[in-house]
Amino acid sequence: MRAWTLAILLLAALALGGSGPQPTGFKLSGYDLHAEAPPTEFFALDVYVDAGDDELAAWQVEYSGASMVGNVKLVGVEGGESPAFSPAPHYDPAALAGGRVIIAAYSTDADLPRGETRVARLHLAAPQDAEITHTVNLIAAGNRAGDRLAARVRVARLQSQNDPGHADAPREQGQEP
Amino acid sequence: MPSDDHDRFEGGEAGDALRRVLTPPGLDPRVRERLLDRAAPELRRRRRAPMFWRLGANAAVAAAILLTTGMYVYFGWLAKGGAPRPTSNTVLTADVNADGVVDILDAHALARAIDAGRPGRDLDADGAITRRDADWIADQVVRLGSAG
Repeated sequence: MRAWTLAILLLAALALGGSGPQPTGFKLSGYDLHAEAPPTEFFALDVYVDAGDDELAAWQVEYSGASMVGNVKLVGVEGGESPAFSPAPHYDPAALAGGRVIIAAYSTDADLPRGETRVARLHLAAPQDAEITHTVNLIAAGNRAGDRLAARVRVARLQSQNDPGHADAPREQGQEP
Repeated sequence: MPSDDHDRFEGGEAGDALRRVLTPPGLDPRVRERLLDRAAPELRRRRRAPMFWRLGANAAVAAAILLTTGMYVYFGWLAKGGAPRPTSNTVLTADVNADGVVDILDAHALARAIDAGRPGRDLDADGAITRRDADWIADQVVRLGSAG
């Protein structure tokens, strides 16, 4: 019976240990168990949707960021440039501290943007100088009448927010669908 | 008589020991039978008890393994950003523009209907049809796991 009890306790410990938050700052299979984690860089990523000649009334975009050297983490979501989409879009709070998020917004305002417009700004954190792969996918876009649009989406990264002198210079462009 | 004893005690160490004790030469067979009859129920009960505990222990271990596996799957699912999804009925109701997909266009369609005074759907079940119902759709479609 003692062996069974030990087995049960071991299984329970495995279950709880495997599901809990993973420790950061060390590699399980490397030699640098006590090495310091690389410094984190915070940056913003603008999300643009281009509705062409039509008015953009609703959009839904999925973004994911990945890096070989560490995790890309979402730390905040901000609205876009036009008044119709200036409030922060809808997103799942569970996406915070993760590298994947779905954002979406709709508007019934009289004044809706046409052409390419910045619909949101994502605030992210990643290991400094890491090469990041941005993947963005347009799930849906619609015009004022509710018709589905064949819009385009792209992302553009701003310079580090610690360097306000270059805050408006797009430096990196994400993949388009 | 040994076969009768076997039926009575179903084997076991205690039964064997009792049979050895009760077979001295000269023991009156009727006395022996009476003693064996009296001892048999008690021995049977003692034999059944370990079986009961073994079954109980096996059931407990099986339950623990099932529970552990369930916890593993559930917490793994949560760690991946999983969340309860709307039921199929809710999904059908939320498909406001009836295009077979629930996305932000349904939230927009419902908001337009509400603004225009057309009948809407109380999706958030708060007893009123307002823009909050359109926002409810928007909140559902951005849930991780709702796409991709």
